[in-house]
Amino acid sequence: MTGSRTAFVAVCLLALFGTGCASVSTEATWEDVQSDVAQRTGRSVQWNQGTEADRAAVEAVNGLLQGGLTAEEAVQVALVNNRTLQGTYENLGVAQADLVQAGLLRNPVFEGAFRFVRDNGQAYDLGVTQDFLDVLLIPMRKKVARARLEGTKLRVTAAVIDLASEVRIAFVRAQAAQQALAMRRTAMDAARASHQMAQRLRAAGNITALELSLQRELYETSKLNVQAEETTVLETRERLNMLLGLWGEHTEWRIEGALPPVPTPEMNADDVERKAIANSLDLAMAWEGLRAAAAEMGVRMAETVSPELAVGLEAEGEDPGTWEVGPALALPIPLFDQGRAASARAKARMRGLWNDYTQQAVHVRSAARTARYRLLAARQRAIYYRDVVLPLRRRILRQTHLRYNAMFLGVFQLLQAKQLELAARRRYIDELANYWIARVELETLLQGRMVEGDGAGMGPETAPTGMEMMGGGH
Amino acid sequence: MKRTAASYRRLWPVILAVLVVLAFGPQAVRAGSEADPTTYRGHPTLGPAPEADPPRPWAEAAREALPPGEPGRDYTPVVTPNGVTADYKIVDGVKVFHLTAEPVHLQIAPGLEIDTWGYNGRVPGPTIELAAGDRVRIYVTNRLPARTSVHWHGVLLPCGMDGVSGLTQPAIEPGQTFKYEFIFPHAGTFMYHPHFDSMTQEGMGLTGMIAVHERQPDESKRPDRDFAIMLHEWAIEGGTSRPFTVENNDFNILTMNGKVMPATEPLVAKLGDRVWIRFGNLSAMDHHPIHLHGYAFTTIGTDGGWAQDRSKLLPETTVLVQVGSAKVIEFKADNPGDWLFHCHMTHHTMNQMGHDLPNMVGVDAEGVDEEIRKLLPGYMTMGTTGMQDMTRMGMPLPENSIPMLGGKFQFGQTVLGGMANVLRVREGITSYEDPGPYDFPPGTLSLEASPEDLERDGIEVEALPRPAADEAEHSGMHGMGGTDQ
Repeated sequence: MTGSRTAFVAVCLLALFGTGCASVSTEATWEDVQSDVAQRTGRSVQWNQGTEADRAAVEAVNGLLQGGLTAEEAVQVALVNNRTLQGTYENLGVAQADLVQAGLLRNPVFEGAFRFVRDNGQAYDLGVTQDFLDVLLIPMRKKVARARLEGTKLRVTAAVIDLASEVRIAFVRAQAAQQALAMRRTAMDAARASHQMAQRLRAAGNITALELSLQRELYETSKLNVQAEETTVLETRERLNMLLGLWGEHTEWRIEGALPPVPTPEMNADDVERKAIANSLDLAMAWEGLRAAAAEMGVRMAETVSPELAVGLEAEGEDPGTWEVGPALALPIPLFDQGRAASARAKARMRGLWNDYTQQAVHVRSAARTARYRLLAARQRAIYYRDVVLPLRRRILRQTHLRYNAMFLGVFQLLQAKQLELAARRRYIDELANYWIARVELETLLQGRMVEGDGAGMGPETAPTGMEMMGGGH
Repeated sequence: MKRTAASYRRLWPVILAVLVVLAFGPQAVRAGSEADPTTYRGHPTLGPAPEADPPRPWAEAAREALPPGEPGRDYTPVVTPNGVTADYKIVDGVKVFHLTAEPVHLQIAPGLEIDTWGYNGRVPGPTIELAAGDRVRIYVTNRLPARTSVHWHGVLLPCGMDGVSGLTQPAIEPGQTFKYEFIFPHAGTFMYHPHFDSMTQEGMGLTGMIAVHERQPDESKRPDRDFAIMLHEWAIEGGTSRPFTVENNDFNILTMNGKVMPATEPLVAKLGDRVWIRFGNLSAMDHHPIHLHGYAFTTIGTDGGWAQDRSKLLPETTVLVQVGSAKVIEFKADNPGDWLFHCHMTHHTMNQMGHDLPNMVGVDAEGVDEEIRKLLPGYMTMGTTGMQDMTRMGMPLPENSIPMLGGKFQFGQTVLGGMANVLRVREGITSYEDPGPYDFPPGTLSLEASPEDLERDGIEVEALPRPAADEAEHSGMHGMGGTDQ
């Protein structure tokens, strides 16, 4: 009996120490995320867990909402208040727990059987079975879980960057809409004045009913334009409310100031491809996905250079690695299943994942070039409007006014020239907004995330491609 | 030496030649004498003028061979307001002129300057002044970028001097100098202008007057004052400095001697003077009825000649000067004062009107101005009472334009510009320098009627009502009548 007891104790001790000291506390992980975010974006993030510091943060947010809101303040509010983002942080706890779980031995199974023997006896069969094979699988499971935890950290960081980027773009849109509304209102004033003058001329018998109706039509159309712009303002505000997690009285915030002019000097837009690849969270997540899949399938990733890797890896800065299939664990006796099918499947799966990774790298590079071009083009257009088109329109208006003073032309042509000037200023606001959105897109790319399409963006809840590679659930 | 018949026969050609010389020689020599009408002091100029029925005027004059007329002695010199009389040299009894057709920078009034074409740096060109019977030689140098010629409008001369490019002469190429030579047998009023691409070249201002005086040593038989005024019209869009000669309807600048009021130089006469004014009209498309205030005159001459019986002339106060004609009016300056004379087509006394604006007369713009000023600082509704808003100073205007600029006189604005000028008739002046505004004798001015006058004469004046809505059809008239000074 002593031997079996010793064995039992040995197993327990092995179980205890075999797991390694993994804790379910997310503190260290969260610090990693915080420092990664800070390094990529310069921002600090707050995980609302009901502490005193969190309550202070919420009050600070309320303070920000009272005064005029700037773009940076809006981002700060969103980082604290957006519940989806806060929910995403909990994924860290989940992944952390998974890591811990991966390092634990399966609980022993207690079996009991009651046997009835023929010659008036009873016998008990008790036994405890421990899956010893489990012990040997723990390192592999831990590797997978660790890769998945790294992936989750990256995913959380990505969620922060995505949200900040979305908020900035939404803010630009809301600001631009507000300014455009002011322009439309002024245009409506001009159309109303023109119509009023036409009414006075008609009252004096100086113009025809047709001319009066034409003037009225211009006025009524301008009212419709104002209403359309008011709708846009509302919609852009609501998007911000949603991103900032606001409701009720907190939606009464107002925007501070106008869209800033194109800054001088321009942000550094050199070498964007290399930087984008180096910082790309999407690529890093895909890499962790590859690692997890390899670990799961018992695939060792060796170190040989392959031409395919040059696409992503030379920028990656990692050691180029390929993978080879080999027997990872030989415990199951390969009598009938010598693992050839399994290794073929693993090879095929890894090749598939590798193609996805490469395409992702191509995508990132293309996005970098596009974002850079868009920024510089938008900058050029905004500056052109500011320096050429608007001054020209002002000059045209002034010359028109001079000719009006000389009675070479009349008040309707003068007000029409004013309308065209307002239209040019509205287009300038659009170009400025395009510039700032392009800038957010490039900055976000250099921080590690791509902004899809027109910057409507992926919310924290939208799964990035890397997640899909992680095969099944965790 | 034998004198055979054969040797005499050899002499025949010689004898024949001697006889021919004896027969016709004297005549040939006479051809070079002063009595020959085709030369003058031996200088062959005009071709021979054969005897004809009826006799050609210049041929008659040539036979009279008058020496060059002198101003003062033979005639009272003509005055060209805002202009000059052409210089000339006398070379062997011929008055020699030099006209240069060239680009000219012209100031039509302060604030409006244009780049156009003229003669000798002027628009119109200098007035050519002659005495009847003068022989002239006019050199014309072409410094224009285009070909040109000069036609002597109304002058009776040999066809080869008529100056119609293509028809009577080759064109004067840029850089060339042509010579015109002919005689003015009679007194008259004429004009000169190109006859190559007339629409462009006349339109650009290549015009000038010619005044030919009767030789009259008795000063009392001459007019005391003789003025030459060339009428012209232009299409100059406000803010541009080039006349648009293609325009055929909408002319916006109308000039007397190249100027508009307020830049037209007043005509000055002494009370009692016999005054002649010669008007020439080389406008592209418009006749001009020139109306003179204060006088009834008679039209004593045209570019075709003079009225034969001046006692039967119809008195008028307005002389219609058709396109392409000249008219000479005569009156005695027996009414002192400042007398306006102007084209009576009312648009011709407005400077650079625009026609692209709505009718503003009678419009009540109360309240709308403030609304518009929020969008356009400095805006003001104009035109609701007509054109008097343009007399307001201080509004910024397009450069190089004089929109409805008008004459400003001692009592204020007349809101009148364009083809207009003033005749100043003064008593007891010793020179014809501009004497300044008329000093109206007390009691002769029209001023606001005093209450005593109104009462004495039973004139009832109630306060004028503001135009009400039902009087809308009269609002235009209120704008123009009323109490505005």
